[in-house]
Amino acid sequence: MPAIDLTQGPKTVSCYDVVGQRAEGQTRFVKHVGLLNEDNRLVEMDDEVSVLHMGPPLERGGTIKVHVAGRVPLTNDEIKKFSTWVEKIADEYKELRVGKRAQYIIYPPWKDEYDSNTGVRRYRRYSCAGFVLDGHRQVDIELLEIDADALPDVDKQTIMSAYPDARRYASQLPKYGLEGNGPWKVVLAGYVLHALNRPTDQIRRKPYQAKYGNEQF
Amino acid sequence: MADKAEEQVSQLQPTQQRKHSGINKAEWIDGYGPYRYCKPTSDQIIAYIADMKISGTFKKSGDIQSDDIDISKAPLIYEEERWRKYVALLSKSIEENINRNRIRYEETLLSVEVEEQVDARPIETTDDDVSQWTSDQLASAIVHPEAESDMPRLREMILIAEDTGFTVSQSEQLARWLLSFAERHRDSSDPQDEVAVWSAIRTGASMLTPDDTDGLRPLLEPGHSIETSLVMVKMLGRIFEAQPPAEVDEHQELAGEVCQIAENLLNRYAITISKSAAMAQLSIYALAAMASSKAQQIVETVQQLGVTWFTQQTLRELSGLRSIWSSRPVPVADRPQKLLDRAIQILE
Repeated sequence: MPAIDLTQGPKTVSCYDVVGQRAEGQTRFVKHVGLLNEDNRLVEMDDEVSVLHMGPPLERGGTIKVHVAGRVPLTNDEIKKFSTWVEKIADEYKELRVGKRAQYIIYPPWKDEYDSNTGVRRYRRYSCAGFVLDGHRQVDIELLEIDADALPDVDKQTIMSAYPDARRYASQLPKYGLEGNGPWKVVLAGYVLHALNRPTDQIRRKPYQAKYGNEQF
Repeated sequence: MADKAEEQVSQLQPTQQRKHSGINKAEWIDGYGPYRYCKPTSDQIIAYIADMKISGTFKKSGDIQSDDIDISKAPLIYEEERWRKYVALLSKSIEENINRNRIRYEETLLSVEVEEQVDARPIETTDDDVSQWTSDQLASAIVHPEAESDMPRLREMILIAEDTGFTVSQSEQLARWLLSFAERHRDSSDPQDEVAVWSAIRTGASMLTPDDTDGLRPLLEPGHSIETSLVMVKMLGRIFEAQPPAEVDEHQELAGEVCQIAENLLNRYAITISKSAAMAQLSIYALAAMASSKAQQIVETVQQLGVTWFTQQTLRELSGLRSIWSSRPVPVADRPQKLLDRAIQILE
């Protein structure tokens, strides 16, 4: 299967493979995903890897400790397309110290921001899962069904587990797209791993429909 | 180590309120967002967090490269909590960064020392918290003649402006200023200016109407230490995608410059480098969006190159432009639309 829990053993990962990190103390809850920013390497549980990811901020070359990983085997042409897309948004990467939270969104998984007078696009906000999904869309791979009707409800408690900073910024949740008290149709990081945990031809043919419990992998 | 730091800090007695610990504003040479820091001596860091209006000195054994320190994610605490707890949390954050190799030398923090102890009561923050400002306050502060005397603050304001809605009159003033800022600072050697320059271009350009775009040509020039041409070409495409021209070839000089970029990059060698491929595709998108008749000859060149992935990706981008235009409440004028359709047809 294309996705793996690294407690089962090391795995060789390649550039733009999906790497994920579990929440501390919650054995299988995936709190973060990003795209590997390194060439082929064997990774083990807790290895630090370089990633392209929405931290926030959107970062190229940040590091995360990897606990789970998954991939769609990409063709050479798809890797070139992926790399070209990565360069097209090069002006939007920030260093960690910039800490620009406005770049981040929880719901929907991505959203373009526009000038309010001219309607000109400025940049795209992402959740960590949204960034990974949008990357794959650039090579015409729809990993996950993201229509609200197709997503499980996510309650406030789960949000607090998924986003540790959310407790501190609870009053600011509307800024990240979470109005009211929930539940919301949030794309959680674990869904991406489940989407990748299918035969390759199935991943390419049909987006995965997330189920309750898929926040864990 | 964090426990040790916390213990040391807890032994300090709060005494008096202070704001900048005697350091002039201009000396806060580094930092972004809610924090500033500087290195008055090789073994000290003084950090100042806007949210709390407090500062402290952190002593460690070895030299710290200030560029490598990240305290932007230092845990923020609520105002009622004690300053010393904050210092402990901040030191923990630094320690975490040592563990993450973000601090060049992995020598541990020896001590955390409050240079001048402070009262636990926070100072009012409203005026200094840029994120809480109105658009009017922000616009006025950015274009203020002395704004550049505090570059960390100015960079922070520029980033916040990108997420702020301005009135048309504020935008007219700001767009000119932001694009001028980008032009004046693109030769900066300070790595922190790069993010601000790119943000200024995105925000400034997004405020323009197509009639104002000829003034953007200087930012297409290559060869500066902060590369502005990629974001500029990208924004040109976005300006015209949102405000399509009524006729073809309305912006011939600008199109000429963009076409030159595309022509120089459209060869099999250049497009193997992903940055060049990105630039070429963004140029093609801009030419099609501004309804330049040069778009047709350029997509013919793409077709002749015969590089399948590049052709497919260019086609995908132009098809995206067609979707955006077709979703507009007001239809795009006939000739620009036909020009785009023809470009897509060549690539299909």
